[in-house]
Amino acid sequence: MTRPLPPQTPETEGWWEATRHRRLTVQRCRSCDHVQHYPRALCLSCRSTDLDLVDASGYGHVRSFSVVHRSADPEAFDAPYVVALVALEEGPTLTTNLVGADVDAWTCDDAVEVDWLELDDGRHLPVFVPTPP
Amino acid sequence: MTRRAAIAGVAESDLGVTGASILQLQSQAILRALDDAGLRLDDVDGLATTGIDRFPAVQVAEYLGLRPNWTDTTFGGGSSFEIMVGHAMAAISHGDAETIVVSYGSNQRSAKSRRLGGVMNPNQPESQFDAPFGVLNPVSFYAMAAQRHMYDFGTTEEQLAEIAVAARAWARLNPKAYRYTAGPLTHEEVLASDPVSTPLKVLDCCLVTDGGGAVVLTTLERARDLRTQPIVPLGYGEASTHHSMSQVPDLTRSGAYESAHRAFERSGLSVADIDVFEVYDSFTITALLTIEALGLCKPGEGGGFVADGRLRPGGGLPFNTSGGGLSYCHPGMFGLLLIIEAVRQLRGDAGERQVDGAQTAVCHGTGGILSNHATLVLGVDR
Repeated sequence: MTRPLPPQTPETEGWWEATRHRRLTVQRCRSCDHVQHYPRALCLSCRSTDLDLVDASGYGHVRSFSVVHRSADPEAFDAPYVVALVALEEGPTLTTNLVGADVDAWTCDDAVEVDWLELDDGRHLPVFVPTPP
Repeated sequence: MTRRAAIAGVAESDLGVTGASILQLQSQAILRALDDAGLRLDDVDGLATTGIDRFPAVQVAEYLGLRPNWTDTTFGGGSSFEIMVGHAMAAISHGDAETIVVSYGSNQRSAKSRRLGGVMNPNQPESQFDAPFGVLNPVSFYAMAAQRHMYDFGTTEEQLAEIAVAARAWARLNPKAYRYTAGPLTHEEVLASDPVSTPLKVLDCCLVTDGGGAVVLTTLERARDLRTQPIVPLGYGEASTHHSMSQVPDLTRSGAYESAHRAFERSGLSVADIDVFEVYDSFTITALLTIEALGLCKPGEGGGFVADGRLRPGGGLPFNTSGGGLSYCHPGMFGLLLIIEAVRQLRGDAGERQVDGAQTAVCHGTGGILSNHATLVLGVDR
């Protein structure tokens, strides 16, 4: 299974570079402290363009999930697999995969923490595993 | 006095598996809709269309030999056509155009152009932040909306299945429906169909077919002299909330609440005044969420609301009377076909599936992954 390499753009380069060091970051507004994901050119709260990236805790909960039975690309994803929307403690939501548990074991609102899936070019994808009780 | 717009002609192109090109399907639909109205291509001075990669209205105009003085190529997914009718209402009322055709054609089934993962441009954020995780776009998103609705409100897969079962029952009354001769559908068959992205199964998902259609709008004054009974757009509302999966503000409360509110407010009508509902059903959950958003029941209560079979023919709430995207036709974007069916119902032209005495209808288009919403209220000319 080889996942295709995601493209990156000038405003997301820092976010992807941090994943080389298994650091999950979110974009923070220097003017109002609003936190957002994905990285973009302006703050969605105060419209300031003065933004930087800060480390996220890596903890969150499952807003929702789905077990995919027909692979989006059989060469990259071995069905069944779990896709999810995970809300980080800091607020923003990530689209991701849930791993480290049976595909049928998940429910909404499960507590999760980040884990990393290495890509062929040294970048990583943030995926999530159950937070130990 | 401000000019008002009216719908004077409607038609589908060939539907199903056509082997035709997109532009052939567009031409069929447009010529048939003009014929329905008793108008000719030379009468058309405005064209609105989408579903073609580049310069949609400009390409179709060239193909038909038209030189329109008004075009619209809005790309809002399945809701594009309710939006275009909204734009056409304004254009006709301002005098920017006299006779506007809103059209669509897709050969996605014949051309096998549909991809489970979705079609992405590398410049869109989803290519970086959604696609690397193997989400099926759009199926997995709607699946996650359904999952959350079930978790929060106790909605069941069987209640969702009822929406597909009701759609099939209507399709069996519509000779143009892809599933016209397929026989009735049961809850058990829906529940036993193969899972695609849980909790959605094959029979929770719309058809993948070719198809298209056209709607002809002109001034109400002119429409009154034409061959068909004019159908008047009474109100229009639009709302756009997100495009990427991770950016959805609320998985179970879509922008349909806002678009419906705006459309009802402008029409001076409320949901209780509506005789026929034509609601985008890309998936069973899409229809369920929109039923709640239109105010047919309270938020979260859609599952129980549909469970008694009220959406079926004779069930009391005429809903997706063509058979919908689930059992009639779904050519990639379905919004135009919602309008065509509503017009037929309001004219009394719907044959075996005619809703007695229908005077008002709502068409609700949903684009993308609950991204973009447009609600159109239609009524007969009084």
